[in-house]
Amino acid sequence: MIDPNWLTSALAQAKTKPLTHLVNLEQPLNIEDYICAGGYCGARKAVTELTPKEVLALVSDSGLKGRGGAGFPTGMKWSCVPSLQDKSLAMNATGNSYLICNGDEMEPGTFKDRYLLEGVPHQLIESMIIASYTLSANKAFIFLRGEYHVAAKRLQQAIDQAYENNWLGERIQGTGYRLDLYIHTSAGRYICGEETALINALEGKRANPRAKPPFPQVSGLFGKPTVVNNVETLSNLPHILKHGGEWFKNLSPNSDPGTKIYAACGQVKNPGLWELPMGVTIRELLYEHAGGMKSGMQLKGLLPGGASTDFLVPEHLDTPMDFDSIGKAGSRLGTGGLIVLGDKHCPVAMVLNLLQFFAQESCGWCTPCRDGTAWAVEILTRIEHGQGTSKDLTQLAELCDFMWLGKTHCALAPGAVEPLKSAMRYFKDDFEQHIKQGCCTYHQNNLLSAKYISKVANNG
Amino acid sequence: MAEHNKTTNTKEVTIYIDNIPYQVSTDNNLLAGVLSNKLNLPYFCWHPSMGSVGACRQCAVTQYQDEKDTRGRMIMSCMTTVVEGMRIGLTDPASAKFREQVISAMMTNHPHDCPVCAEGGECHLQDMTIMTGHTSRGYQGEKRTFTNQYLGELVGHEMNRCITCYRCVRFYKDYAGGKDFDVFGSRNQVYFGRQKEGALHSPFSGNLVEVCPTGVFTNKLFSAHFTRKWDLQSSPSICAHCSLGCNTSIGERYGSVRRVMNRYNHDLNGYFLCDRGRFGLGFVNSSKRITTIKGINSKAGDPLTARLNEKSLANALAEHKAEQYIGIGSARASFEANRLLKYLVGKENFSLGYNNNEMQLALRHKQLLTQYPQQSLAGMENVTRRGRGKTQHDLVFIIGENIDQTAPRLALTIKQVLRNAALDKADDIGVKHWQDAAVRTYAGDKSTPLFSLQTQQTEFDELANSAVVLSPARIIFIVQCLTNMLKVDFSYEMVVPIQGTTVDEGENKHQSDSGVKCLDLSENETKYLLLLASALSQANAPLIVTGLSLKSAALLKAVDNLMACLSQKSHGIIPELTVVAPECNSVGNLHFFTEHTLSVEQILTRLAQTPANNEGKVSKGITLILLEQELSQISQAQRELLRSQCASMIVLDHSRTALTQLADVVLPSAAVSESSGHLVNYQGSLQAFYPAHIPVEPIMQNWQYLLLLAKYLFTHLSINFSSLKQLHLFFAERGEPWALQVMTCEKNREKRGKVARQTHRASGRTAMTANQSVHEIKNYLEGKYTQEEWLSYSMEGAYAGKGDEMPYTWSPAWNSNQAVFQHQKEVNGELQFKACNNLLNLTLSAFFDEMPQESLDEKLCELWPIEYDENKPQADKSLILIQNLPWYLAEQQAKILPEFIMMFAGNTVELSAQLAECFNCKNHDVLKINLPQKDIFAKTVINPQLPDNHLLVSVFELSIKVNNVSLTSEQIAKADHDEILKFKQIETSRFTEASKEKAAILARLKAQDQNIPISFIDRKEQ
Repeated sequence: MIDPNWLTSALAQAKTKPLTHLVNLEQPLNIEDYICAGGYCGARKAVTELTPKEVLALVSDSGLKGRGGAGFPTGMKWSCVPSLQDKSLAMNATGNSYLICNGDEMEPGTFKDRYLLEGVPHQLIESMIIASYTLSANKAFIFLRGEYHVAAKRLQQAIDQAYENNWLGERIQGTGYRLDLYIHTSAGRYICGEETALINALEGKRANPRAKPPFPQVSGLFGKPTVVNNVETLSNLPHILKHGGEWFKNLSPNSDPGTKIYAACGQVKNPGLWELPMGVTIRELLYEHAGGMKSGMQLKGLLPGGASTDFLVPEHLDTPMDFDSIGKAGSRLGTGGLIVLGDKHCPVAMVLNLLQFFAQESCGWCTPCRDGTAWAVEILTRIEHGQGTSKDLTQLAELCDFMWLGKTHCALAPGAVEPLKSAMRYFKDDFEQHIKQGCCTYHQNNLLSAKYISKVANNG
Repeated sequence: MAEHNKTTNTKEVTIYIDNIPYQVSTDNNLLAGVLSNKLNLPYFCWHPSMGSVGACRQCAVTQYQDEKDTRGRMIMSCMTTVVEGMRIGLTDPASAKFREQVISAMMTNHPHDCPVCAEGGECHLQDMTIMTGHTSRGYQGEKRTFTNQYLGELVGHEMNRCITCYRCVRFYKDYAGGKDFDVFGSRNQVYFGRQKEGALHSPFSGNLVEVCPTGVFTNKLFSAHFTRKWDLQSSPSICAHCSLGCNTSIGERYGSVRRVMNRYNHDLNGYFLCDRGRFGLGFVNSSKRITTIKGINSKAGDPLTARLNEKSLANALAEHKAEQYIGIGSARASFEANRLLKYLVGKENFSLGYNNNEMQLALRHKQLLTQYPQQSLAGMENVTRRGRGKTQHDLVFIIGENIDQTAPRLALTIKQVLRNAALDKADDIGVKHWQDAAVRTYAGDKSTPLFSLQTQQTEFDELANSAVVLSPARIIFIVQCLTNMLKVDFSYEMVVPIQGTTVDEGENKHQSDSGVKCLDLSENETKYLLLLASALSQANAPLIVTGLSLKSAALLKAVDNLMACLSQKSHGIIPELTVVAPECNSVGNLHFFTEHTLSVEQILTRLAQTPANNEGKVSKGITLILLEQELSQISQAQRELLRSQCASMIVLDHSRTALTQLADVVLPSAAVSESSGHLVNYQGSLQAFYPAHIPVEPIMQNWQYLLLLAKYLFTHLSINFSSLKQLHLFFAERGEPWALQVMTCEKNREKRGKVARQTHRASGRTAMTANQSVHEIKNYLEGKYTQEEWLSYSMEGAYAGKGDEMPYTWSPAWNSNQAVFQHQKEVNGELQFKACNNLLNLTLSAFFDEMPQESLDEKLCELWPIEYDENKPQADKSLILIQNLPWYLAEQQAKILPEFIMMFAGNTVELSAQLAECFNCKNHDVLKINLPQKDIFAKTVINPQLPDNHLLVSVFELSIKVNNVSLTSEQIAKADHDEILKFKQIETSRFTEASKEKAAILARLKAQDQNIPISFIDRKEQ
């Protein structure tokens, strides 16, 4: 049974923390309790009162932007699906499109989707009903990170409950609308977070991103119109339907609309995540919510939105955390999860660690990413180990250029370049000191994997 | 949707490359447009025939918004659609630098083993490295290493060289439909190979050698004894291993053929060959080659001095002079040689080596060809469509011909035809056909309807909407039923036989069991027919494929009727027919086919009537002259009978056969790699082939030997010419159109001047024959061999690209076969110097042409009676033997190659469980089949899908020409203990002999490099 006190305090935040007010990590709400707490109102409104195009208009007007990292307007993404276009082709009639929820949260330093998936699974199901209805999709998939066992279990329970309560399956809530929802747990590749690689993986193919165009909205899963949305993006939908677009816009003064789940990890006192209005400053996030730097440490730099964003440094502390402002500061909002580097840790080692991750996770399709990331790892390993030369810095800069946007098949390698390039700019001295002194100036290699140390050492 | 389908119209637009205007076509991508203008832009993953996927990023260029834009943005040209007025930079520093970086990134793992790599000197990666200006390695780390796999006898694997362009898997899996090859792993550890080590199954695996831009996949036969491309002497040739006539380029050095490469022919094989064509030519180096003259004073042919003593030959031939001669030509000898032989012996005394059944078959074949022009492979694939928007095939129906075995390259074409439906679907959302990945994503599972009607399971069964395995007689019956249905506009309800089946099936079934009547249809057959008829009724341009391998004239007749019915305008269908001929010059021989042509049976009769010992003198009888003919369809006893009844037997052949053992005189003729002439492919196209090198005497070209025979045996004909060109002239003067066509064509070639067989950079051109004389070879050979050829045996002359038939593919900066685009009018288009398309004008002789259909059957049976007629119900319990040799053994000449023999798993006979029970045998039991040709032994394999009267045999010792013969159950028995032992011994020794032969050939050829055996010395000098 739901604790009435908990519910009252949760509901008090319904309009300020719409995404997380019902989160209960110990025991997520079952369908009755979720409905009791105002759940499925949005979905009911959508399927019984609105046409798909009206829902689309509502979502477009709300200004919702994708929370997966790129910040693409959700309404615009949806409107490219043939069934929602004015000139709809006969072949793309109802039932011929798919919705996929991207729950393959593998960005280092990011754990916001997990919070929603484990804490309030029904919210996602409700969201997917709304989105699928809008897209005229009769099948929807949740592509879940393989390691999210708890989420998979809780989601499946929630899906079962939704079927039992006629929120999934045939003739949802007495309407003519039908939706089947499936969970697919990933076999585990970072690249599956890229929507077209995700679609390939879901089809049972190699998880290589696809060339665009055609975009998934036209030729996606099994060649059918498909929309892939992030968990957090979708989770906004019930609230937008319930409270309207104006409310959503007003959640965040002077910034992108809505709230955002921000997170912080690394050398901070109080790592965690918080749903805050869009556009909170880095300073507020870091010093008020995350409790500031660990004792004895100064902020050296931070990645504002996961591993594939550029470093920001103390001078950027007053930048609002929204898509545009972070962009102007030279980085990307990404997932909104800060990775904080203190001044007692080696930035070269941190970048090396990140690049190892990207080189490991490269799908191997295009040359710049496949060979470029590995090459960068080779150079960074030598520098960190005190065997770098000044030529290496030139080579690294060239590699950054080589792997940049427009030159690669997808955004993985440019994402790898972002921390590397910005680190070489902001922490130039550190790189040069490594080379000059022939060793890591931080005297700690705990971020460097043992494998690479021994490999380089063996090579002399 | 109708408008969408018309998006393929060619449109030329102007684009600006480095501010210079160029015309490019909107049908293809920007990369193809740049290359079509003969500009150098490096690439790896894109392939002209396989389209774009955007993996390697090598073809990056800078695109500018307008004239004022100086920064531009980088795009991948292979992934970019061409639009009017677009501005791109090829030489701008940004894109040039990026392209260089791509190479340097690939070089982080590519080993520096060029000296031992067979690809060296024609490596696309080497070319692109130079082209991008990458000159030094920056990478200091370890290179990744892989374990290589054994991929069989044909293709070598060296994965460390891989630059991960994905071309191999895209060819093998996507384009050729192979299933045992894939891509594994990720990041910079991507592995291309098989899940498990083992021989590649695909008959197109050899194309990996050319598709791979570097030396990961190599031709094993070549790399065991490799030479650099620049040191090869090459000639334009025609593949002699099936009737398609794919164009090949043969490379030779030190008197031995080293390899076969694809020679681009826009209409025919395009960029790809099958493995029988690529590797099968190895037979020319076999120890089965005949190198001496048999039966004449041994001084006549001495292989060591390499001289041919014409005087002693003349003396000896005088011994074999006879009153009458019968000449037997063959479908693997050149058109000219057959023509000459027929002229020598006269049309009344000429045979094609066919038995009565094959004669009837030949007539039906000729009938079909005169009525239905045969499409080229490109026509079937509708390659032209990516431009000219012709209708494409929307249904494929394969009848009684296992094209995987008989014409493998056609099977590859059919696989592309099946993609038509997917390409059409891609048009719906405006995805360009060259966007390979996007088309496969959007419409990957969409396949053009395919129906297969075969005597055995084939590779196509799983792609087919419906496929049935039936006996030949049932196949004919199904085709007849289908024709009946079509006659009444597809309304199958009105067709009596089918109606009958569905109504009282039980009764009919009973009848068929008793063997009295089998004209009713089984449930399966009915279902198949209904599906097929309804699909055909919706098709606009069906492609019907059939062939002669079942040796069934009745089948061809049934197909003829079907085509006639389909072609009726009222159906609104434009059907196309493709008939697979048995051998490389079968269609050429149809030209000589008349009512006078002798069958083997007629020859035997004639011989019996003209006893050899008439008046006690041998010379008064009939002398048989056999041109590269082994008469493998008849039994050894018949061959011996032939020999005993003729006065003399003169055989011209390149390799030992049963007949060369019997013959009085064996004249060693040159194989296709050493001779010239024309072969006529399945379409009737006369295609010229030229020698890659001059054979060692006494091996001479077949027509040269025939001229010697003319000189000494057919003196009354006063033939006094000595070259192929004069031979053409001789027949041209006699009004033969083919000769005129060929002469015009050769004249055009000569006008353009000599083309060199050797490359401009052939090294040591004077030193390579220094043990004999320090001269260029050419000087000695002028006159006898090369005077009248437009190809020279040296570096002298224009480089290969200037010929319409290119000896090899090369152009400046492009040393690999990728160079071909430099010689095409546009990428994927025709060659700039297009070879003349000489179509043989096939006409039925008036004797047959004016005969009504009904009396034709009668007349045929009168001329060439055959023992059993497939149309008529079979005798009780009669069994049918169907050949099922794998593609690499399904042709006589290829069967000699040791590598192919080593690939063969052993003799098998497949039969249904019920039939196996009749012989009381289980899986793996050895069966003995008593054939008139010989006793054959094979392991039993139970195949539940086979009809109960079917024996599907794959027996090495049985000639491929013996097919669809009926047997009685008495001819089959379980082998006894001794026979099993003997069988097992034969099976093992076949493999060990082949592997010994493989090693022996290699050792001999390597030794030969040190002691060049070619006779370069002009006879007149001594």
